[in-house]
Amino acid sequence: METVGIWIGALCTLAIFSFLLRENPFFRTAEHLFIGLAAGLGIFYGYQTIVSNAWTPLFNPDPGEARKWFLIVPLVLGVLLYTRFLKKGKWISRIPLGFLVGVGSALAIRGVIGASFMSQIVATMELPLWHTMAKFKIDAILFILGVIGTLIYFFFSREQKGPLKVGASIGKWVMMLAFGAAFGNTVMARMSLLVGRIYFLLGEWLHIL
Amino acid sequence: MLEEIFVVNRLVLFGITVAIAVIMLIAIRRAKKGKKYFIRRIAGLEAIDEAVGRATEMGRPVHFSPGIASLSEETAAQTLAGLAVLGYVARLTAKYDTDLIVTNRMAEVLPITEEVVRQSYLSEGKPENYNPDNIIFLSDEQFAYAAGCMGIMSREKVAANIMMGAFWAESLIFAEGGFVAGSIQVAGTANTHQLPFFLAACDYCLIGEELFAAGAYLSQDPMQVASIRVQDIGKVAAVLLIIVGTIASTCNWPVIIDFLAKFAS
Repeated sequence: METVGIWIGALCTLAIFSFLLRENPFFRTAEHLFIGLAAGLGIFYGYQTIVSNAWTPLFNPDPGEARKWFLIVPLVLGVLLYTRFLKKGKWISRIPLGFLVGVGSALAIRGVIGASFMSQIVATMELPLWHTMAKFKIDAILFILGVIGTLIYFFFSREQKGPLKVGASIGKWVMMLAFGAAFGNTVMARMSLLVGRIYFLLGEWLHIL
Repeated sequence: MLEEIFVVNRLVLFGITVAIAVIMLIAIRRAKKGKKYFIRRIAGLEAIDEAVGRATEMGRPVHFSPGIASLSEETAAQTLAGLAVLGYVARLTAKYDTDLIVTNRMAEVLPITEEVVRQSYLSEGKPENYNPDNIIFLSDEQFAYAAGCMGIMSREKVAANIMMGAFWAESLIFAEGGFVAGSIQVAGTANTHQLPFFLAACDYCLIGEELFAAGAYLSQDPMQVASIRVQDIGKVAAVLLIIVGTIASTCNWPVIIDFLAKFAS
């Protein structure tokens, strides 16, 4: 059985790699297989999630545990999503969707103000420009200039002219340097993934390595 | 006493949230009364017109992806911003009778994309051109969705590939798929770890907050533009706080940092 799995994995890997030449029937087969399998798995895990997270605690709780009645709210909201298939009751599906959008927006606000806004400000101001007057730390100055320049780049309610243009240029350069470093870093990580796949093909499948 | 009512270490965050909300309400109120706020040109967004125009000239479809984030997580704001751009793209494709293919990863985003595109076709007076079969749910599995998108872009030979929203490791796969199909590519995301790939592989790119400003810029809706103005006020406050805090820190006067560490963690 394991051998069959290795063969399927290897053939699908080659079929996906074949896209590098051009779109072809092998790639298409692997693509559709992938999407179909993901859909099947999605239905299974969706069912399992409903049963374990909502149905069981609500209707069949473990002995000694109280029924969690509040779970009826997400359960009903979930069922209401399916009303989009009704011609006359389609509008009802907007209620759970509105709930989802509201929760998403609230989470986003909390995340932005806490993690992105305040933490970034505190982390930046924690850097003294120099520890002592004798030991000048240019990296701290570059870092603070970079943060302020990047913030200026994202001012939208003023035209980028004069001092704003200078600040925005600094911000742009800082961002490009950061993106370059991130790009190189990720390319290396992707190379290690490629090596892993090649090792699978040549080792586990063909037994050459 | 205060500690019994509030989570004290988040008091400053609470204060900032309330302050931003109040300033936002004031700005929106002023915008409703006719006050016009300025928003500067965002180059990447103007490229959307060029991309759709190119697709029209070539008689080939436009592909749009609103990213792979759901609506119930922190990155939902990016999906919502992407949907605002989708409305604009759909109005253009309706206007020029160009096919628009929208692929979705998240099931809950699908009805919203359908509605956004349908409304855009209605507003352009061409409801008969709206094709619900072109609004596709592919898979909620990240790389199955990526493989599906690549296949569609290649088979349909899309002339423009527009990606606006939250993207992760599939970003480069999408951009390469669009490149192989020979399409002009406009992308935007606030996921900074994926921006390098879009910058390297796409023709135009919206960086970070430009994506959030996109809806306001494209619609020129006074209320949305007012919200951008409030965001800028927040940025000015951040710059001032950084300058004051850094000077205090350099002078070995840690009162500001201590205060924020205690009440804004």
